Amino acid sequence: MSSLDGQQIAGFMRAFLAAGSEAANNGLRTEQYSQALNALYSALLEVFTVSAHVELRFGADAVFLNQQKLRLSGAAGERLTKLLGIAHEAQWEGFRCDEIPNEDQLTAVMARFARPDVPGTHPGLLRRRGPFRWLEEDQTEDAFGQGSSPLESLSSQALEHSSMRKVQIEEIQDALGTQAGQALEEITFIYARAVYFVDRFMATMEATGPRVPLDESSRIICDLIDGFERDPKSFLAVSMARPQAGNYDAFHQANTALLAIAMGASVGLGRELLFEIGLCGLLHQVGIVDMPDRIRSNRVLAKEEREILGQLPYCTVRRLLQAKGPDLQGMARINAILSMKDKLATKKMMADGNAQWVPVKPAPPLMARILAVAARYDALTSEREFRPAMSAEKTIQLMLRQGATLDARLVRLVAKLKNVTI
Amino acid sequence: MAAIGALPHVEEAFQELERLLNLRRNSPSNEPAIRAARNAVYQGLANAIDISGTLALDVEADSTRLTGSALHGKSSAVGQVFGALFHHGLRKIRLHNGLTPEEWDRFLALISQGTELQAEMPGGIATALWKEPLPHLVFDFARRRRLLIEDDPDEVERDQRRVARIVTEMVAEQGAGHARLAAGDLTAATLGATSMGGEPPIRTLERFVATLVEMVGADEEGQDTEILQRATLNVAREAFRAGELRPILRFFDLLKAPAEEGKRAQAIRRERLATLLGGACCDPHSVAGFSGKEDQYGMLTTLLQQLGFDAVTPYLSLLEVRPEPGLAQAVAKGLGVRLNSAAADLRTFLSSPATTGILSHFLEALSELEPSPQMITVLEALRTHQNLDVVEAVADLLSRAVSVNSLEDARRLLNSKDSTEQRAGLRFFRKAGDERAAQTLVDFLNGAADNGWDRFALRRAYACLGAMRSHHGHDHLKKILTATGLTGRLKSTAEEQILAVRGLVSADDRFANELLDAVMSEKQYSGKVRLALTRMRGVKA
Repeated sequence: MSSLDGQQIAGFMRAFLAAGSEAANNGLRTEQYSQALNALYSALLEVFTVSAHVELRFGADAVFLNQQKLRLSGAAGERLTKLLGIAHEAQWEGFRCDEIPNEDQLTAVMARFARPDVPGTHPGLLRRRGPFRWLEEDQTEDAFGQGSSPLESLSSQALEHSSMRKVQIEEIQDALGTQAGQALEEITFIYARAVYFVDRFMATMEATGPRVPLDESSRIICDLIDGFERDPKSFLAVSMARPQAGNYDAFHQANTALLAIAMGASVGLGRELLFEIGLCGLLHQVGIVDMPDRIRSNRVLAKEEREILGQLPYCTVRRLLQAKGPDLQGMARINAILSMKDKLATKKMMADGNAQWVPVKPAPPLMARILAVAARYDALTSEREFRPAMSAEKTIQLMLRQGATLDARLVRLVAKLKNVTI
Repeated sequence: MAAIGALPHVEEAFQELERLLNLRRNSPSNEPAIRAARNAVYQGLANAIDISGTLALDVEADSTRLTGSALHGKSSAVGQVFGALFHHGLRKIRLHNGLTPEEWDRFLALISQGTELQAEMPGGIATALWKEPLPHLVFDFARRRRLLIEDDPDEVERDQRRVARIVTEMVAEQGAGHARLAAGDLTAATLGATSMGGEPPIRTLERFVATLVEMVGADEEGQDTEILQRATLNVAREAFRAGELRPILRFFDLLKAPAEEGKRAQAIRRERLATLLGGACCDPHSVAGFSGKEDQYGMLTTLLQQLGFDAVTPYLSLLEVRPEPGLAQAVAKGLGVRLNSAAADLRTFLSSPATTGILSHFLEALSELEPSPQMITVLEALRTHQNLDVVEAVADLLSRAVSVNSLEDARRLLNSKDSTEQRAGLRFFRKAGDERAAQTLVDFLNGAADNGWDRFALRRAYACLGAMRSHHGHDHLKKILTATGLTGRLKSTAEEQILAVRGLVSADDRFANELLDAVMSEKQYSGKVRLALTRMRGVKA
């Protein structure tokens, strides 16, 4: 195996010190950190080109890169000392990597300088670090087997605590200017349950109906509304999560539920209606499982395909009716799903020869109008396989021009909730 | 320690709760005892809360516990209720200082219908408790660890964690957005919140009915038959519960509308759904839950006219629960001739103490019914009823069963001493309505004093004469009200004038009304006559 040359060692250490110091001093969200991490990743790949592994051991006043002792002086020495201090405090002896990692995995390793209080044995951190191993570990131990017990982690007191999430939550808290860390964590986990539920609900759908019982969705919505009541800002922050293309349907429905709840609460709806509106949002598009793949992933559709897509609300209603015979509230939910695309106004030729918009009577239910706005906003601001995400500002402008199908007052409400300047 | 001090009070409260649940099941009408037991339960809990501040009850599979001490057995009434709650995921109940009797009663009411809620409402009892404003009661529910039976809970947990991680990353990527959000103002007031609510039940039901009909039309291969049938049953149940019958009538209309040409299978499916809907409208549970008020009674009659014999029993039972005159009339009109085949049900209904107050309304509303022999037997038992209105109504009904074939027969029946036969005779006259019949009746009335008719019989006869709207009849009535003697005073007595007035009120035509207006305005008529007329017009109005 070849040994590293001086240039490679210097390049790696320079990048390591820059990234580590930036993480320790300013966190993981700065531009400088991103640049430093890129440089470190490049240097790491350089090391891999020479040797099949990377090992960095932290000594008392020096580091060992692939067994080569390095002691630095001057400013670099001061930075190294500080990093070694942090590592010592975290009882972190260093890391080793036998496979080429990706950048996210490297980020997970460097995050330990930002949050030395998170133990190296934390399950979330262990998963995120990928092929990296801590030198203090027994190399034969399966790190993935060290998670907390399922019971513990499923109790309401034991929410997800991966180190990366901790770090990022702190970043978010800083941005929010609130101390809403716990609320944000809780809402994130409830939101994750919502996404998981919808995903599983659709994935296990059979011709005779859904196999996943609807009851769990009610519990999720109750928890989401409680979360909103505890901390609306964190709630809205989570609703800003935008799914990656190809991962759209479950996220879209969860996002619609969140935004619809926030809108409903903002216009003064009571808990019962918020519940209905949330549940409706969470399930408003489960009939998508009955749509052909091509329709789901293409922007330009033939006429027949558009007609099939137009049946989506009915497919959803069929699926919901398969799941449960509706009570009055269930009927209201079904009505709302079917009315989401109903027109609010139609153009009518007046006696003077001018066309004028005339409100449709009866207007679609309020629940449908809220859901229509929430779903459209989320759809447009999400990245899809066939188009990039639209900016919030552009989305609001576009939606305000769709007054025939979207209630402009509610669009303005979304703008206000999302702090979009019209 | 405080919780241990509270234990005796909680144990006492749970003993009272056991008694309360047993009382409700075995003696639901014993309101005083139920109220006393309810108060005792609350008092015991309130005493315990006074000592411990907050009570934390652990709900377990076999018992509910306070500081480890079991508060009831598994098979007791309380055990069954709390066992069901455990099954629904409830694990802990915290009772906080400030708990009111109303909150506790509401909680008890909700958990008592837990099973029903579980069947109907997504999320069942957990959601129901969450929706209720019970600020001093806090519930901990276990989270579902898997969605399907074959799910591995650990796997579920891992997947949820994975999603949570993705979400966190996505949220973190929106950093700039959050900073702006912090500047936002999220209070409802500043957003200009208005109290916009949901739709009223009737609109919800009507929209849903329209959807179902649309789905029936689109269901070309009958693949949705099962869900449509279930939804149809639910429409009926919810409409009754909401007290709105229009959506059901609308549903019937839409289902009975002719199907498109060449769609025979669809027509058959519609017909089946209509039959199912009819059956659902006779479901005793749904009918018992009918909450409609006066504005629904007309529609109830229309609905009942579309239903089969199955409707008799549940709707008569409804009247026992809701003995309201208007409802009784609506049911009687709606059931009509079908009652002839339900003598046993009718006997139970008519002899029930709960319906005593509405019997006359019910029987009077059976205006078109000709009683069957079985029904006559049932009605005969009411001829000596203490309420004269009931006796009258029964006699009227029975009179319809008397066979009258000619004017001579009718004339003969008028001489009968039996009120039922007299009525049968009068009915024949009324039905005939010609001048010959009127003349015959007038002749009979002129000699009525000798016939020994009582005043009630006379009233009926004059009302019949007026309703015939014949010249002879009018002349006779006019004569009573206008004929004067040599002194210029009316020949007739006030009693005779009142009978004539009754006839004219029944006539209700221009001639009659002019004459009646004169009665009201001219001084020659006594106050007694005018008062009687006012009353009669009031009743008619």
